[in-house]
Amino acid sequence: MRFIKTDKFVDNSISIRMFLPFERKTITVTNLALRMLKRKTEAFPSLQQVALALNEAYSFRVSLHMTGLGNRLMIEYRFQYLQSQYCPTGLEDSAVLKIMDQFLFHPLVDVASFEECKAQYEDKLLRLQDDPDYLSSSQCLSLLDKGHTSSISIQGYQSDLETLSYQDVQKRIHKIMSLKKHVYVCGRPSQAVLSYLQSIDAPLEPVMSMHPYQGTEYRESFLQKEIAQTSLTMAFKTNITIKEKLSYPLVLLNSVLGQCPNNLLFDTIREKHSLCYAIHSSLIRYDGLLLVQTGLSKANFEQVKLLIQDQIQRIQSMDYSDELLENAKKDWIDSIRSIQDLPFSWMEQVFSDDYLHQTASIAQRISKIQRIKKEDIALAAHNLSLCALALVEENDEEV
Amino acid sequence: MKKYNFEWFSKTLKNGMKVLLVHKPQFSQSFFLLGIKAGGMDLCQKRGLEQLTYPSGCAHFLEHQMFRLYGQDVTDQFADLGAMTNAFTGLSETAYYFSTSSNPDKPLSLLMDFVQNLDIDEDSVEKEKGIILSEYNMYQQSPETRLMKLVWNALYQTHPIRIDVLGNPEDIASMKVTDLETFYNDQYDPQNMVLVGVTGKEPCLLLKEIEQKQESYDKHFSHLTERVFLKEPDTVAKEIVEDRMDISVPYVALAVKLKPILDPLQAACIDFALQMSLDAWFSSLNPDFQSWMDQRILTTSFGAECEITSDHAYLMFYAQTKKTEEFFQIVEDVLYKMQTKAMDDLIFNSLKNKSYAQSLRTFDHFESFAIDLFQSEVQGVSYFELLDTIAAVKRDEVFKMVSKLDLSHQSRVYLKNYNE
Repeated sequence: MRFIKTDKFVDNSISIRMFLPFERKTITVTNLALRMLKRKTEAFPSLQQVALALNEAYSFRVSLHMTGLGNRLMIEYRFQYLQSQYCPTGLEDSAVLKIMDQFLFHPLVDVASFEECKAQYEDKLLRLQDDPDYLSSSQCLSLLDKGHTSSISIQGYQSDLETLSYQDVQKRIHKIMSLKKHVYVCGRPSQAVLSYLQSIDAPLEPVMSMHPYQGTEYRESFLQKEIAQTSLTMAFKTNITIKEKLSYPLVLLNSVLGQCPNNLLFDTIREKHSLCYAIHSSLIRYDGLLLVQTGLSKANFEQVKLLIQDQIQRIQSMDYSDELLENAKKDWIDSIRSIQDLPFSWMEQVFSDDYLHQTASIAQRISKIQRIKKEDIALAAHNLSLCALALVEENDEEV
Repeated sequence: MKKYNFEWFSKTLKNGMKVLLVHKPQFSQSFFLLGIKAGGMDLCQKRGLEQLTYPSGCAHFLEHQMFRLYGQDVTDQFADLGAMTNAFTGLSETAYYFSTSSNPDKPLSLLMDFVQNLDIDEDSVEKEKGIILSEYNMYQQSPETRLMKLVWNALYQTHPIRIDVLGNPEDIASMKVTDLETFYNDQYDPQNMVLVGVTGKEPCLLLKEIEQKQESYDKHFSHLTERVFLKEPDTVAKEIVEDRMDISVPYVALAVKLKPILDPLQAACIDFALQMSLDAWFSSLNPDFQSWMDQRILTTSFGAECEITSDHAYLMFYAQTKKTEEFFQIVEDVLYKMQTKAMDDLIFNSLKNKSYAQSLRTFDHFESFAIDLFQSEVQGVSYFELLDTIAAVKRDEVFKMVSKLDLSHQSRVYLKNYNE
């Protein structure tokens, strides 16, 4: 168990992480299982009782999340509750322990819950398809080679849902509940709470190998919708994962390209050419992918696509100001320094270091960032190659 | 019991600017916001007998233009100082802010300078039109945003809340430098500004620096402008409104037009009481909620909200559902119960605990905290006085406030897909 002892927050925050293989055949049932796990418990068997219990405990927060980390799925319980000293009527350890224990080990799993969660999940999947930006990014990733986890939708699939049975989900829930738990704590919880968490903790094994995307074929997808603005997503493979020497330059590449203030995409495509309002780039670090996303007018698609590729070429040829690189470094350093001002970001950093077996201190990381040169970033940029493009475009036809 | 994990200070400077500083020891970051009490609904004002009108979207367009000082892009200058900057425009306010984990002195000075100096020209205004029209299109394809716009147009006949904060496309396309300069000179007066800082740094020194800087920025006018509202009838503009979009499941809303409340503290209290009632009756705290879910009347996208201010007030229920008429039936039932039956003590106490905890949590989120402090000032309410007032409110008082409201002026809004 990792315990960050601090008085600075009003809350005690707890993150409990578990791992499963990230597989196409189980992603939908896992999504449905998680919905059921956070819904009701044996001691709080109705939605009203759950709401009352959490509200009475001063808005005790419980949430369940899922993230893809390469070929593994990480499932994370998050608990957050006010420190007792801030509660006008106090907050008993027994109440805190009961809530956590119920959600971790005594979920209410029955057919009624299954039907309800399945209907809600179906609604959510339908709603996601209405969002042109989600549609373009999910379409883009689905074009990647089927053998790689990056092509799997972490939200799951409508088509799987139709054939999922209650027994399938029951089995999955039992599987999840039996997984080893890795506990992270931030705040000043009582000894009773710490002892409980210590008793359920198991040591975390660092990740041994990464599997970056290696596909060689380029694919495109064009969809039409009745929308006001076209949405574009482009995926580039980087061949660089977090554990490699070029990982730091890759982060700065992404920052210079489409993250830091006045980055190249923003400055050129929005500010100089007025071709969009929002444009940015992002990394899927465990998969060795970089995405560029923007909203634009359909008529400007070819021009925007060329300009995006031009900015990558500029980075390859080091054709941007030293000032921009320095600002990207400062932006990154600022975010590193601010991490300890948010409990879940702080715990995320500690987890990342454990998982990737990284031992550098904050000062060492900052020093490493400051030493990176344009040449290093250019080297990372030469690794980029466009592997997929998805466009969700405005329909030309009159409705 | 420990009350807060911070200290706070407040001062009104000689030039009329209000300064609020919060000291959060142990934190490395700082968040500073300089806000103006003028926003998207400021289309018609007066100063004495002088009438002032502005094209729609003026406040927002100006916000886009402001990030220049003496010919230089200030975003670059902030980045050079290790700070991230941004801005937003609401109905009645505009805010410029930065956050940093480095020393905030220089970015703070830059924030005050760039907001309190105007540097725009024809070229910069022309260039921005395409960007803002792109932003307009981005929001147009959000069903939630479209629904909200339909609701305001259904409820209001003359109130400027009906007009998009971004403006209408014709006004955006024809915006002139002189429009923006006029709005700036009228609204960006220090008397109309609030500076909020939430910081790990010692605030007394910061306050001295702020005061010194503000000596160079005098008030523009002896009197501030006042908003002018055309007479808004109590009745809604349209009882039923319908629109269509490329969505898989329709959205519906039932909105109630309420009477505005002139006293800001009273308005805030009624807002709180109404929101609390909604939390009690239109959420899983209501035992009927499970059957609404079982019948698929409510799914994952639904909610209720209210806003009570001195110039407009409304209450709204919304959902994404195929069972639209059943949804309206539920809402009518909830409205009836809210006004005829006080919530259980157990539910009331749990909601008070929840509200208290949510306020406390805001204090650890610098951006949310600063924005809440600023928006309280815009509404004319002291944030901490409001927290104390709300903490002392009783169940019967909540019931009394809600039961006295006139809920008879209603509109129903349908956002359907093209195939329906």
